[in-house]
Amino acid sequence: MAYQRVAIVGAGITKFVRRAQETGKELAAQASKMALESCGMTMDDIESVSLGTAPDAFDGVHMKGEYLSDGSGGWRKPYMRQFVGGGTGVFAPIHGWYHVASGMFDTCLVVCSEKMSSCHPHPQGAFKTIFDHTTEQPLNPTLIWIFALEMNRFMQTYGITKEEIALVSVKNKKNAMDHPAAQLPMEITVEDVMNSETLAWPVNRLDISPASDGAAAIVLASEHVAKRITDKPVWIDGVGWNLDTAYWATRDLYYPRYVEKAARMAYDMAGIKEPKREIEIAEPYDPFDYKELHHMEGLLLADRGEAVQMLLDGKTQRDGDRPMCPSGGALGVGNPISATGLMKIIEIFLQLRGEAGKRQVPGNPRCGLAQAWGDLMQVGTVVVMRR
Amino acid sequence: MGLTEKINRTDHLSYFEGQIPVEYVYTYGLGLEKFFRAIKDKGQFLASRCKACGVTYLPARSFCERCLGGIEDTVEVPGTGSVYSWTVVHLNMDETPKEEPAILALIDMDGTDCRFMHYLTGVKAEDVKAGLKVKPVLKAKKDRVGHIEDILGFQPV
Amino acid sequence: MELEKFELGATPLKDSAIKEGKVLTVAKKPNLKYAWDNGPAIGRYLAELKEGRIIARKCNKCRRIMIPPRMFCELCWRPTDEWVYVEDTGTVNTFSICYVNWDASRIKKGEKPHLPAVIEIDGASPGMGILHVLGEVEPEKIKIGMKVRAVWKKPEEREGSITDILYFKPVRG
Repeated sequence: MAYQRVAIVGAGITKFVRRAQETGKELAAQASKMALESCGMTMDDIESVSLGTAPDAFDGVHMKGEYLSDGSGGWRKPYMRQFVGGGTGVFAPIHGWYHVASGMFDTCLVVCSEKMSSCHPHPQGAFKTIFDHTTEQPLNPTLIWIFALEMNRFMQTYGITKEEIALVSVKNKKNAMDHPAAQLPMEITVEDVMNSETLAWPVNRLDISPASDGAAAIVLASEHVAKRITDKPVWIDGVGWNLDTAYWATRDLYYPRYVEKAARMAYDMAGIKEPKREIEIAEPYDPFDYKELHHMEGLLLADRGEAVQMLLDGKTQRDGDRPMCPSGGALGVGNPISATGLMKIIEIFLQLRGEAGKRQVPGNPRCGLAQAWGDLMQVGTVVVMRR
Repeated sequence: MGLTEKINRTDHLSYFEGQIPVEYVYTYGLGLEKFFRAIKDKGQFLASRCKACGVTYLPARSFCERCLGGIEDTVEVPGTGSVYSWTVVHLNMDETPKEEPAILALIDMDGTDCRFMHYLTGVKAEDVKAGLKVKPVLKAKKDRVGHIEDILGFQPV
Repeated sequence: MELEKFELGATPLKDSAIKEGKVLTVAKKPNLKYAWDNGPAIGRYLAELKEGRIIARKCNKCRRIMIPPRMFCELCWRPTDEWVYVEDTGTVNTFSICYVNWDASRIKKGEKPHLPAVIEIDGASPGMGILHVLGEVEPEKIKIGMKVRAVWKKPEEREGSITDILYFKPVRG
């Protein structure tokens, strides 16, 4: 396949907060402005825009892509909105990638913005509408049901305990202490997680990422443009996405096959034969603590049922052999759905450039990935990056 | 894939009823907060000017949509304008007839590069013309809450 | 670039800032109601539930018996072939004990927790599960792999809905 090489050259982010005064478009504008400034570019240099934002029901703004366009640099530009639920934050840069890779454009501004706090009394209410309106909604489900059911099956299949899984939350919330955008940085213990309110056994309050408002943005450029902008481009070497059946209850709840397929697509493109050895650092999607382990296995970074051992051995700590979510992840930095995935892309971008400040992992990693997940809990989106 | 079951009796078709039971509370954000505070407290129209692009936005905004630069300052504009286009509305949202037809207009706002959508008052539909000069009619100060309905409409100058 | 060198956007607000009117807000409750067409597959599924039976649909290519029934097989991407009645018993694939209502409010003191489960229905292909709730069981006694049976509403109270099955309860003995 012949395509232009695509680099990430700039990044911007807002703080992630429970409730922002700014509108979704104002958050998008703040993140976009920072991304442009970070690489010395202006909107005049931007040839295309890829916007990611998650369910319209969060804000009750139908046509949310159009609504957010002015804050996302969409004015009189080729502009396209991406939406695959929680997977959006890694899907929007994939779209940006092929805007540029195709040769149609040399630059693309990728923006993800989410304002969940408009939905009252709690954004959970909007999630009810993702269940089948006829065969599931009459049972009054909450979104947590799906996660609780999946987590229980995952634990049961591999004999993993709640205490072991809680270590992910402890790690990520601690990592977030060093992230300037973080909403829930904290030093907690496994006991704190176990003693926090039981929402839907086996899920406790501290097993879950928060609802958040926030935005993130990156600037993509083709090889010849990137080299004029920066001497530290980070290349998008592989992209992948994949979808499983819409009948979520029928899936193997203990193993995300669709994430594996998305990862294999990205690895093939990037020429990665041994992901466990070659992917040095990763940001798997962690809206719930068990999801980090679940996704590490789907990403082939751990054998099935073995991710928990890497966690227990300290390998996924920032100073471990295979750091996972060095940013602090959705659990620590916060989870403004689409912006979370792009925050993860930004973290790998900064880590590979050696610019992650106090969060910097040792060993000058050369290759990393970011992954997100969502839709009806059935989409996997993966981007592999190298410096 | 074609139909696999032939439907002979359409009265056998069934449906399932439901609704999306959510509500919303929107913050106005940085730009609109300034605009509606000024309407509420002073009866003023505040615009935002991007010096780099030379564009003046109404209502006030916190950023320029062309360069994405932030805009801190506001400028007061008179709130007057001229009718750009209009329509006469005869039906309510639920398609029942309105007691009185309403005139909804797009108004080129003086001193800005923006149009405002609002109702025209104190004028008959047949007297409205493109370019008609109009000015805002506000509720009494004590009744203003910082809402688009603090402006009752626009009437001919 | 390092994030620490930038002043990051977003102005955090407390809930009280809205309640006390420190910032301007506008509220909206969209009053949208829907009537979702059931289509042939779910229409028949609901009609059979009203009669106290569970019906599935079979694909003669992959031989899966699918529940909820569907007129096309999403794996073979072809029309399905036959209606097949399945049992109103099954196996708990996974479950949760839930103290939160759909809108994230908490259940009241003394109220029993919700007991959602994925139940693999007997007579359907292995792994064919549906979302439902469990009842007549102490939460701590629920196990993955447990056999359960549907408890139906009285015939005259059924309305052609998934809630015509009140819940699934353990099969004793």
